[in-house]
Amino acid sequence: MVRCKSGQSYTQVLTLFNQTQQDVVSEMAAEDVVVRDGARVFVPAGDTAGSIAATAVFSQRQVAVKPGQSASVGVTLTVPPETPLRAAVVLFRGMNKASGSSSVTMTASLGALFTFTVSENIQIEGSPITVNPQSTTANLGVSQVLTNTGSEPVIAGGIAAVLNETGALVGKAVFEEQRLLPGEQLLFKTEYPAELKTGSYRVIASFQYEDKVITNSADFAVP
Amino acid sequence: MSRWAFILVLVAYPATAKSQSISVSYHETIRIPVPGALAAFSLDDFYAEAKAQDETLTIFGKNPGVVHVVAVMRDSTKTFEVSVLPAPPSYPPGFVQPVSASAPSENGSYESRYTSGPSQSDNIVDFMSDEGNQSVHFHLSGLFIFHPLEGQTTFSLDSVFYQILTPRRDLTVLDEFMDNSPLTVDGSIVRGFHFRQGGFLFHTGYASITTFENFVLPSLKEGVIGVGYRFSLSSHSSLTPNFYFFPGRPASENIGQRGTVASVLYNYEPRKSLGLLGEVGFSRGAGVAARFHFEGAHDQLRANLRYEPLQFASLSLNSLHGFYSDVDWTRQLTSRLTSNLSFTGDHYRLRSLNMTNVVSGLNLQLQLFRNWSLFSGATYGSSKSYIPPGPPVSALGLPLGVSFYSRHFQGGFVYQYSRNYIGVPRSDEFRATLGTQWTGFRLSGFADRQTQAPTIGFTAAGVSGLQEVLDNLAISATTPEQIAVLLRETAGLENQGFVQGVNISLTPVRLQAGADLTWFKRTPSRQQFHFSFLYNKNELVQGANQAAIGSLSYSLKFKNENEFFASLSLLRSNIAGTQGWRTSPLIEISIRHPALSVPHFLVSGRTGTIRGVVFADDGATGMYRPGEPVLTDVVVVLDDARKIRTDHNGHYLFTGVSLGSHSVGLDYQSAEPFFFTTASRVQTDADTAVNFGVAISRARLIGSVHSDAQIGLASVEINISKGSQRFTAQTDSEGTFRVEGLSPGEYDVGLDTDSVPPGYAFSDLETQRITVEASVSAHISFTVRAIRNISGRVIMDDRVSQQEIAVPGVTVLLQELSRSTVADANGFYLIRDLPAGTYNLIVIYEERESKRQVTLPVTPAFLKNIQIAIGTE
Repeated sequence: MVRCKSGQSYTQVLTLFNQTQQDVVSEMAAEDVVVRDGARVFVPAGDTAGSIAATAVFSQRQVAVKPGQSASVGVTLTVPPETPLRAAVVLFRGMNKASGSSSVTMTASLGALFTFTVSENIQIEGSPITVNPQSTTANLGVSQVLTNTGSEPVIAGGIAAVLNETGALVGKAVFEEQRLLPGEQLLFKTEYPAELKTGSYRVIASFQYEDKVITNSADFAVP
Repeated sequence: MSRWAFILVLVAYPATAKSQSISVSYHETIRIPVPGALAAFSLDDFYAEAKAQDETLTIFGKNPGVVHVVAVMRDSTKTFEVSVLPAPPSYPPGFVQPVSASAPSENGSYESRYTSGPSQSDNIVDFMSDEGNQSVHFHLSGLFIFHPLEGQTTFSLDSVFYQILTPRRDLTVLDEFMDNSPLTVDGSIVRGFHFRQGGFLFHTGYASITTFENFVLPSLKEGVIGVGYRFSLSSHSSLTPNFYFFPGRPASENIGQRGTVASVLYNYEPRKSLGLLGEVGFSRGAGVAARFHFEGAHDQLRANLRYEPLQFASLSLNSLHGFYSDVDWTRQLTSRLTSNLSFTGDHYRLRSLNMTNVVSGLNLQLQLFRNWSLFSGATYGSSKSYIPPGPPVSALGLPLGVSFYSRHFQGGFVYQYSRNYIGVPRSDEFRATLGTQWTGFRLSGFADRQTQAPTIGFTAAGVSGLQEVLDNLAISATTPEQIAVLLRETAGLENQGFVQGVNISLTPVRLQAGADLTWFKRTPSRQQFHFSFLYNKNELVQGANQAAIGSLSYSLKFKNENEFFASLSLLRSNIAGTQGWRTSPLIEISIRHPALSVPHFLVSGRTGTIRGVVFADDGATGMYRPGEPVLTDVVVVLDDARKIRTDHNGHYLFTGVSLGSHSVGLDYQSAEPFFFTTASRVQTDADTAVNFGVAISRARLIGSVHSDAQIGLASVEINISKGSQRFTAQTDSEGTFRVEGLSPGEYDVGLDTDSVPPGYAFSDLETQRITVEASVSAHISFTVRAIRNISGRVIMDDRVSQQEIAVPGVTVLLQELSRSTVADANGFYLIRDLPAGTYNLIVIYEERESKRQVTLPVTPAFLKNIQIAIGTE
């Protein structure tokens, strides 16, 4: 994530390593990443008002990389003032077809996601915790949907803590970090692998993002 | 297959809490009371660990960074933003903590120097201290003369002073090099008392020549008392009225001019490259002096002017009664052409010298090529001596030369034609120079022949050895400019009667040749050899005066920073009309020892304290925390000399400790076996605190925490308790821990489950009880089971649909452990709590056996999606 102000630009050098057995020819492209109905959608540069991708300036538009070699391209992105967008993807868009032993041919593209934080409007809301019961064939599962209700991208990760009925900590499981774009909804889930004994429990899910913490809890019982 | 019922009861207190910020040091533990706290956990164990017990939140800082800790109450949570502070810097053996910028900077040296001819030993001590905007300097130079002249003592302090400089106030006791103003005291060392407060200036004392070119002279003291006040006119200019009184010497000695001087000094210096100074003074008659300097991109200009009537009151040392002026102007005319214009006009009105000297010159240097330059110009010099009487000497010189310069070689040749106006119409001078330098090596030489050459000679006044010193200087003064400079430098000797006569004349033929060789090493020892040689021959009508001066020197810096210098010089001279060559050897040897600190008695108020606590460190932590038990009446020793005992609070305090490094040690005696939990002897500076920890040699507990695969678990916190006594320990990277200083008894030892890494089952861990005996190590170990599961699905290919379908109700057998489970209605299976190893999963379906091999690592593992295909339906 790049922390910057609106109207500022950001320059990064991307390097493509060709570990295939044939030449790779790519053209550089940028697309905006927007969130629609909670999910990410790639939108061609300029199709969205305040497009970040449309500002992309590449040190070279096309690169050809021989097997075992690498090529670097500098890209400068500008965050337009007042833009609601916060992310763009820069692509090495493959132009030559990769051939293999089968009759299927394809082109390969690689990309890098850039997200921008331009304000302090950082907020996450969590849905109720879902607890999937443990069974003889499944572990205890804890999941929660987090929604980025702010205007900036955030990276969130956390812990699910399992407490017994006396309040003592029984165990913990880790929610892996994920990046949430503004408006994006993502499911965070984890499993507690140990077998819980019969009793009442409480699971507390805490996520930290930037300098904030969101905590939810749910009680459940194992008869 | 048993089935678990599951009830989701409620969703409680969703919260985005504002965190309370707290800080914890690296590898330190803090405890915060949190009412109602039942449990606590850190959101990233990499930075900090947390637990709650007895409504107290305990946080251990593991790595620098920021992390959140959640404390869980019955119906709420509380979030803390924990900043783990970076660890203090540690230094490898042999390195010390750098001195902070505010710390005083101190240095000094002691030098002992022996010179022969005359035989004497000079011992010099220097100490300097800079602290903030205060500077203190102590200097002492004591001279032992092995064969004193009449009127001299065996020992004398040829220079000594103690000086404190601050922005507001300066104070110098004894010697100060006074450069007050041209018409009062200008470049003389005055021994006495010197004080400045703001713009107010006060000087009193006496001046005397004690040495000249390292030659010791009998002291003739002259008094001086003066005051002045510097008024600031602007940030760049000031006006200073001065009033000075010179008591003078007895009239019979005819030295100096007794009387008073009142002057006004104006100083203007807007920048370092431009300055103007003007002074008007009144004594017996009016005097005037001015100085000007300017440095521009293409110009360097310096000018001096001074006039004092003969009866103007002054010290004899820097009295130049008469008129003196000089101008030196260098200008870069073009990128290749440089000019230098110089003028000196002096009229000496000294005790035994009344002379007019005028020297002027214009030199031009043109760079022809990259390495070649052409040199030319014109010089004019005239001299007329009234006392002693002599013929007027004047000459016009026209030099022409060429020079070469490169990185390793340089050389040149100059011819000067001069026309003299004293009956000998022509003078010719040829001068050739050559030099080379390489890494660590320099060699240069010259040869010069001049007819009708201007020459200066001195007649010393009976002070043994002074004549040789003056002859040495006279040989080197071969041009009118050099002669003029030498006259000014020896004016003080003239005034005090050490020089009885000066003779400037023309020598029919003068031959000079010299060489200079230097070899040095760019290593810490800085070894350097230097050899110089000068031969001079003046062919006179009555014969030839010859002199040869050779000097060889060697210097070296030892590893302990001591510096050694030795030189041998030989002056051989053969004066026409005397009997052969006369040789005068001169030996000089010196050793200089640097000092890194200043004795505290020289720097007032620069003492400090060393304090600390001697504590009973039963926990063997090595760290004193207020409230811990202390040890009283323990002897603490400073620098193996001063001793003090700890008071009833276990405290000790050394006062009046000088700056610099000191050793502080503990002299602890006890009937019980004990050990130090801190260094028992510490090297430290003043104004520091040093705590000493002592623990009675008690039993120790050694333990380990490892996984079921015998892998040591790091950073697991251990709780040890006996009654109200509580200790904690933490496992190292090998999973072992050690607790020192336990008293005998039974202890409960348990693991802090929050510190156990994720993936390990600790719900079945139980506290162990162990008996610890005095002076015996007790051992304990904990095995923490890593959670390893295998799950997946039993499937088969359906011929009809040509898809994979689940196989419900079949038994999945873990062959090596003889454990089995039954797949559910969707074919899913799960086998928990497995040890590390490689296993075969076997499914028998309709008498067909399907097998799949899996490997569980030594670390926690949950192998998912292990599908077992049993063939085709």
